[in-house]
Amino acid sequence: MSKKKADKPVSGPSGNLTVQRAQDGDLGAFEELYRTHMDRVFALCLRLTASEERAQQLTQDTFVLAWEKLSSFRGEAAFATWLHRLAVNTVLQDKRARRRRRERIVSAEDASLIVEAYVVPTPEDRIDLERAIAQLPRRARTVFVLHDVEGYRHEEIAEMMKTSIGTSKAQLHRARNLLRKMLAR
Amino acid sequence: MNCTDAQNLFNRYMDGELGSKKSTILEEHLEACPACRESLGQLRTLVEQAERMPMMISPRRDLWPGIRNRIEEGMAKSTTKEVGIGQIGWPVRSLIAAAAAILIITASVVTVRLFSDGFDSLERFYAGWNQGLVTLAAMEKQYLGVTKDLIYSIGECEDNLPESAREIIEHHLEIIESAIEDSRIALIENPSDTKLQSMLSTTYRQKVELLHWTAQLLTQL
Repeated sequence: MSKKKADKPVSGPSGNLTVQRAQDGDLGAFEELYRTHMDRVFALCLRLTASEERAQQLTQDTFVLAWEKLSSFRGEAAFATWLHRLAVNTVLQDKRARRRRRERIVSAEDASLIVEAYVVPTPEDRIDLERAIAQLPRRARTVFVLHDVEGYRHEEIAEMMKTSIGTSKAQLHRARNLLRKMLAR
Repeated sequence: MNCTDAQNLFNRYMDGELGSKKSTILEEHLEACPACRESLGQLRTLVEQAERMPMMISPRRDLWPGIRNRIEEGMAKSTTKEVGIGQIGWPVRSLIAAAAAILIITASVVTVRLFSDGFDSLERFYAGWNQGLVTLAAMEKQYLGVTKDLIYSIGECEDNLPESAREIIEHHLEIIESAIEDSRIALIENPSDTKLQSMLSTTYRQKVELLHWTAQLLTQL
């Protein structure tokens, strides 16, 4: 598994300065941070929720929370890493999700809509994979996205999902096996 | 080693978590089994594709205005320093939470008497299911319809539910939903397993009972 993708810098050398200005209360600087990082956060939220509406809400929630917690960011990790972790926790702890989750079963039609709306023309196999991921059961999808797409380790996933490392591994194996079967059809 | 044993080891093998002894045995099987080689190849391709997925997707609308509004509202609120509901009355909330916990436990073991029309119809489906007269697909369809109605009615007045009671209900729902998810996954692999089908139908029923109880509680608040 490659190094965590969240750790890869997405902002230039001026990024730290922008963070400092935002920490001083400069909303314009925070908007710059939003413009730099929103695509990354939205992609994560979209894959974790398989819902455009929820991904938009959770992206907004993440940035509002980031503004509120900005003073606690000390620059020890990259801002992108800190923000990414905040986004994951926002999705996992989303209370609005609970009501929807009681009923939500992502159908193939829903998944196709997500794919058509957001996936730019690319090889067919990737579109199929996006569609298949959207149809996974929630916990299996979460672990697969965090581990195989985002590059988190099982220890980190277990901590974020408040579960055991063994459960995280079991969900990943289930997700991969289900995806393999879906894609082999 | 047969194919089932081999396939159970694929993920650990790919992730480098299999000991050398088991790896050697698996590799010997792979050498002799084209079907397993193909399955493992598919899994490897899947993981490689996942690693290469694009990390950036743009939302179709600009989310910044909504974020800015919420930040500015928050800044305005913080200057007035209102005392929130969350800062007072915690003993009352604790009592409600305790009462909710007791009621939830009761609801899980006692049949709820006052069923809505939808719930009644689901009961009939369960009876049919138990007698082998109704397919799992038909029962699931009915379950989805009933839960959709219940969730809608709960959603209309869910904000009236004390946060602490809501958290307890959500916790119970989480457990039931996990069981539903596990049963569904297991059924994908073994669709004709009648024990799994029964387990799934039972967890559906528990969820409907809990939702039904919550809906009734809300009408009494």
